[in-house]
Amino acid sequence: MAKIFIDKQQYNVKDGQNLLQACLSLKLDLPYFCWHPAMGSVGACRQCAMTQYQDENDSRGRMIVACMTPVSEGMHVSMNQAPEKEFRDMVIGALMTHHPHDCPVCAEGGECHLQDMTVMAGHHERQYKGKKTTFKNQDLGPLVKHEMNRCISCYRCERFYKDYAGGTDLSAQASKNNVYFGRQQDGVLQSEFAGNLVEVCPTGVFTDKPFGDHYSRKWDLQSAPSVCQHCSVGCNTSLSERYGSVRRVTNRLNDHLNGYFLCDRGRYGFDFVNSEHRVKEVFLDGQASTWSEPAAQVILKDKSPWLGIGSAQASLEDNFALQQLVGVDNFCANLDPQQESLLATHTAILGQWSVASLAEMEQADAVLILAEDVNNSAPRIALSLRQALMNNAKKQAEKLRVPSWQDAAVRAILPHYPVPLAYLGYGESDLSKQASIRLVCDDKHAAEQGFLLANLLSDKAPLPKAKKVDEQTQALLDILKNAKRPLIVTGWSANNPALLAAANNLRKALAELNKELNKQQDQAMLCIIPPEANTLGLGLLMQHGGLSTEKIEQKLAEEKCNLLVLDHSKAAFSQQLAKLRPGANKVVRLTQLGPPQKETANKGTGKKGELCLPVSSFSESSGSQLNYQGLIQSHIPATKPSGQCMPGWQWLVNIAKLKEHELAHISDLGQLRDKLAAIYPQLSGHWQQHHQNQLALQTPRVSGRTAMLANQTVHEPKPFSESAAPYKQSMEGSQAGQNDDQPLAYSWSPGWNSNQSNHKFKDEYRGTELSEQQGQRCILATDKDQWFKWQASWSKTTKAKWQVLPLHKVFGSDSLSLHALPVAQLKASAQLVINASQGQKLDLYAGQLVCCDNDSTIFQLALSEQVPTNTLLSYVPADLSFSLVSCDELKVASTEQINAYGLQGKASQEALLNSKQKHQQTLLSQDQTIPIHFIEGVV
Amino acid sequence: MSKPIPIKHIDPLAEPRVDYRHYLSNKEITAIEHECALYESRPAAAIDALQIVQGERRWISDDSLYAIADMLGMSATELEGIATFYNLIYRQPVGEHVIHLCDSISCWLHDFQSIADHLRKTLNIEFGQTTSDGKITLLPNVCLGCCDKAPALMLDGELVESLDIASVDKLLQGLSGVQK
Amino acid sequence: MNKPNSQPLSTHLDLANPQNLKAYQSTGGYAGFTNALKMPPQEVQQQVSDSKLKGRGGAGFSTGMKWSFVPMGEDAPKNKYLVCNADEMEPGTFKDRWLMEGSPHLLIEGMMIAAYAIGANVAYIFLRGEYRLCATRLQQAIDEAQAGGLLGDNINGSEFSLQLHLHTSAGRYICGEETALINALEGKRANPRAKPPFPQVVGLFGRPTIVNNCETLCNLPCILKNGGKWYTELSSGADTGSKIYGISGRVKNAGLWERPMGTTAGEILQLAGGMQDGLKLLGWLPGGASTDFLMPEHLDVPMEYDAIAKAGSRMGTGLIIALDDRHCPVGMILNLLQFFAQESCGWCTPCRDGLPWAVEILTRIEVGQGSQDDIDALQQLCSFMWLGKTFCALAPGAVEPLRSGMKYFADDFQQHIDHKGCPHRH
Repeated sequence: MAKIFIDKQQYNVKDGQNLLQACLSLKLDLPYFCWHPAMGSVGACRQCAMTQYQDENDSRGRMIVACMTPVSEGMHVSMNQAPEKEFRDMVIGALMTHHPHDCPVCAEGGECHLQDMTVMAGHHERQYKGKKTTFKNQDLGPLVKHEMNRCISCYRCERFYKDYAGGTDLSAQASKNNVYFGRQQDGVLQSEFAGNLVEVCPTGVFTDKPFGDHYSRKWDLQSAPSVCQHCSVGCNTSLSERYGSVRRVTNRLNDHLNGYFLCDRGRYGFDFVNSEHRVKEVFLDGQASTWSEPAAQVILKDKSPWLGIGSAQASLEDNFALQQLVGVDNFCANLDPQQESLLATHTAILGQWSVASLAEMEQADAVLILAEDVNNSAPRIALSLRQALMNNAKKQAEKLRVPSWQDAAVRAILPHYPVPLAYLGYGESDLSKQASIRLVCDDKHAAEQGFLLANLLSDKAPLPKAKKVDEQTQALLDILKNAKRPLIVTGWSANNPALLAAANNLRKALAELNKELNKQQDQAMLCIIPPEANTLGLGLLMQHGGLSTEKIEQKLAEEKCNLLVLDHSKAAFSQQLAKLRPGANKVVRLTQLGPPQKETANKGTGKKGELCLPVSSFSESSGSQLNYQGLIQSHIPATKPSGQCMPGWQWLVNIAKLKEHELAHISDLGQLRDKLAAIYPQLSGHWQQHHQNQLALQTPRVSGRTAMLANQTVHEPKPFSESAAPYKQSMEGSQAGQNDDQPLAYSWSPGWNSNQSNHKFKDEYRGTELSEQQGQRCILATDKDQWFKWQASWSKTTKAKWQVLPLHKVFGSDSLSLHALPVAQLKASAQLVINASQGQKLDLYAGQLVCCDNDSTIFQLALSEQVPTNTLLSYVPADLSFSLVSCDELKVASTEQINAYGLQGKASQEALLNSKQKHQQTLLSQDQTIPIHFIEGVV
Repeated sequence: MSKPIPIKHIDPLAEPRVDYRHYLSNKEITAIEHECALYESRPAAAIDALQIVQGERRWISDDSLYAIADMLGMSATELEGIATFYNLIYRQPVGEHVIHLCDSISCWLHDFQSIADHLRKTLNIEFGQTTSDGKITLLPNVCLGCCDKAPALMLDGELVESLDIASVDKLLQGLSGVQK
Repeated sequence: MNKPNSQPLSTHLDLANPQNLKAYQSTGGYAGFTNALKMPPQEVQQQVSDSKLKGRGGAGFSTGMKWSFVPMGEDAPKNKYLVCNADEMEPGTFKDRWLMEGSPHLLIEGMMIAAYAIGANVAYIFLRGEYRLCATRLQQAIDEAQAGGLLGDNINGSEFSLQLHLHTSAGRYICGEETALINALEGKRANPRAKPPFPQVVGLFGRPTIVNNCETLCNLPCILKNGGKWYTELSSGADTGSKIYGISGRVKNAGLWERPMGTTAGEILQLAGGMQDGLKLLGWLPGGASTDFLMPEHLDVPMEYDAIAKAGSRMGTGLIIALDDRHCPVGMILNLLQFFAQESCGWCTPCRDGLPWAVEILTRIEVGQGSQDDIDALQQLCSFMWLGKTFCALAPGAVEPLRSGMKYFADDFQQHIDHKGCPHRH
């Protein structure tokens, strides 16, 4: 700590940080623009000017900018004397000389950092009499809107996009007071983190396009603290609603996970809850029906045994309720055999090792990735790994007595002090490009290398089949040995349990090594990435055994059984269901989204006895998931359930009532969660935490609920909230930031209406020593001391000419977000990647249309050096199913196929735009006359 | 070389690319490679590369920009940021001859304004424009370092000092780009 | 004891056809470098420190001191860089062009000495794009030196190797700022970098780097040839050595002259034959566009760093711009500010938005649409863009002629406002 004097007041602040950080940590209002807690200081905007004095007697002092000045013991500075105040006022005045003052039509209005800082700096009268410079805006694609005239040239966008996120298609152009921030020409921003520009930009240059298309001011939004549904990281989000429709997702600060940034799949994927594919009423054999409909009751009351199929897209509560209802032994996690063994391995590993948070990963000083395409399976983790690569340069900077928040300086020496990154696997990605050690191989070989390295680190570790140690392995070995905080990353995307086993052995070997060298603490880290938001939730439930997919088929064959299904929106799932249907007696589906082809959702298969119950989405009901760490996180609804929708668990409780099953006694979510906690005591902590004191979902600035629907009624409408809910749909209850254990429903603080108000809740961002990660890890230590042995089955190779390995895309591999229009617009179409030189030998070229054997899926071909020979990297969007694992013949598409493909492509694009416009109109028309049913309890 | 791509919307997102081997002349490529060899990283030669290509083609067209970006292994957007930062890189077409008239202090003290007006009148264009026959482009320039022989201008990179109306006329006649 | 040569910088100078390598060597060229090569680098640095040589780029920082921050010895980084700042774009300044056109080998020898002293193995000349003739002649000289074994590996059989490259800029005043120059040399946008870290530690491509002005480097050969002490005796004033002085504006014959440090502006004006007939000296800028106005009564102030500073301005580049009574001070200041506004890199707010703001106001005053408030606004802008408030020295430099002009020529400003027009325009 350092003792400093601000305006003669004494404060104690953490040393090492800069003066601006210190002031904000002290909750002092010092305006700024170019500084960002995650991106460090560059001193461009000069807004945070203060005066520094030699000592208490010095009365003149000299002007400094706080963000570039390290705090030092006993320093004397002032923030509120005339000179610096006048200067800060003048800075805003200068910044605003060319600002269009178009706040009324600006989507940033009301949550604009520039507005806040203008008021804070006291600038209120325009002195500049000259002309304003104006710019041409660019079309940056469906996600981000560009309005250059509002720019105040803080350079934040470029620094985030280029330096922080590694994007290459946004930069500062021209010079003097003509600086322009954009692309070389119009076009979709390439980075999967482009959406963060909306929050990084302190004014309205970059705004949320889908949100702006159907715009609402911040103070008219009701926000709920939510959790992203589109990968296993579980980024914390704020889900904002108005008039019953969810409008946008913004980042909700979580120091240990997403920090200040989301990926675009998370930011824009939520829109599936507004999709026309949502099932909102009960369907009986494809016909609209009701719960009480006798035929429906017959199905539900059927006496033959019920088999349950869970879903990684459903909440822990829903899956648990289903498991309870059908019994542990009749509950199936709906995974293919390979995934089942992945899940088993994964939970076993979590039983031994805790998995690193994103903040911890950012501290790594060596990274080894085993055949996991992090950029596409968990983009937010990839962004954190990028930051880890700066650590050695930061250390060196400190050696040169340059603080590590001096961003430009650190980047200047970065090339000479890289953090080693080893990428063993296939395919090209931002991380594979950064790799200092790059081994192009298939998942099997990567796993073998992992086993081998583990054995070289500690001879206790079992050996794989292949034992050859080449130079690269040796180099890698030295890196891992010398690193203080080595990080091992792998995951499910190659669909191979051997990789998980290898990662486990590496982690354990590093621990052993630590013991030998008796280092004080073992700081090695492990990260394993499961495919979906709640995959590990299923893992928790399956720990007590369950039914494998194969077994279900057997059972259906052996005896007359019914199916009770939590739907999954992947095409592969509906295909599998179609396979089971004929064998099943009755089928009851709890559906959120109809499968891509709506008809089949409604018309069923013509076979009698299929009941479809509409399930409310994550935006409409509370629920919990286990993220990639096994950490439980709960989300809170932003709207009431639409149509006849109910939470899955609620339907299941109702079904239980018909069967006089004990689950029938559950009357609200709280009770269900108590039941969960009774079986999994480790959860109780989280629930208590979560339910303790109610949380306000509106800012104190919202002048009472009455205002929200004043054009309809000024009666006090009773807002929607679940019974025994841990929140209040109002400004009552504890406010964001009032205590640290409370999630933020929104980000606001007096004088700070933009997301920059986060600093009012935070002392510092991912500081040098990390605070303990809050929350409950659910998958508990069972076997503390397990090595995995290499299994013979892992060495199997295909006889076919080509082995097919799975590839994933940010926009395409997640089935939920494909129902969100903005994401669907960016969906990548099916693609095969082959080794470039092999492709040229075969006279194949990029962009060619091909298909495998007799499979009907048409792929676009891509060539890359980073593919092993005789290998097809196959990416298919989640709304297509493709199951080949090997292929004998790679066929070039026929002319008919090519034409058909072209037409289909155009058609789907047009269809998208149409449904987008339709969607638009419904929402807008809704705004004009708010359906009175939104307001309960009003006559 | 990858053949043309049959489906148009195959990658609507990416930045346009021009394969420099097809676009740049061997002379240009050799010159740029020479510059690359003088620095620690290829993109460091960006400014030299822009000047080399401009020297051959008068100005930097979009395609030239893409080709250079391709050759230096950097993005077109980043290169655009550099090209538009420097005064002597032309991102718009210029005439056969480019006149940069010095408008800084010493020339101002020697009434460069009258020379400027004379040039505008005779060429019948404003600063920043090119004569209709595409012969001459007229641009202002900051101090050319000819302060002892002001006023001065730079014609196609050569400095011309101690200007007066007569010498300017002679100069223009030499270029035979005069608009009558 | 032989009298010290009082014009070491211009003895080799020949603008018509500069000396080639042989001619240069036969007239004592490269003797300084040969001496240097006989000493350990530290001693070369010592000689330069003894000479009390100050940077000729404008800031006047001690060259020996600047070098002393470069990490030396075994554990110092292997690659270090030397860069010659020949991006001469200060309005009213043309001395470096003169030196480079007139005796290219002098600069190259200077750079070889500096590179040897700091242990740099690669050096660049950062030349402004408009200086085509300099480029040709320097490249010739470099090739000669290369062929003559003065550049390349193990020069004169020593351990010392040096690659020397010429980079021509694409034109930007800010490149004169050493950290911006480094960014430009890396092929980036020439925004200045924050200090610390200083280029001596983290410079070009993140390696230790020294950036010296062209004229500064041209002083090294004579220092190493005759010793630091000899150099201090060249001038009788407070600052040591020899300087290229010059003057432009409405004087009889503008030009450049090498004179001992401390020569007065009056003497220089005399060398130029005084003002043109019928013109009176109204005021003068001592060292380029970014220095404060001085008045006729300051003509006998010696042109050296402290004396000029005491008079209220800066030595700058030492090239005088003379304002005559036929030209409007307001117009002159407007022209200067237009230059700086045009050349701002756009990085920090006061410079990027403050300079065009000042230009906008001055323009209105000059055309007679100014008001009293505008004067106050200008005063405000002066303090808004002053030292410590901007990221680099560009804007404060621009403020110098403005604030001093408003002091000395207050009446002219007032007349513009009172008579709604410029009294100098007819």
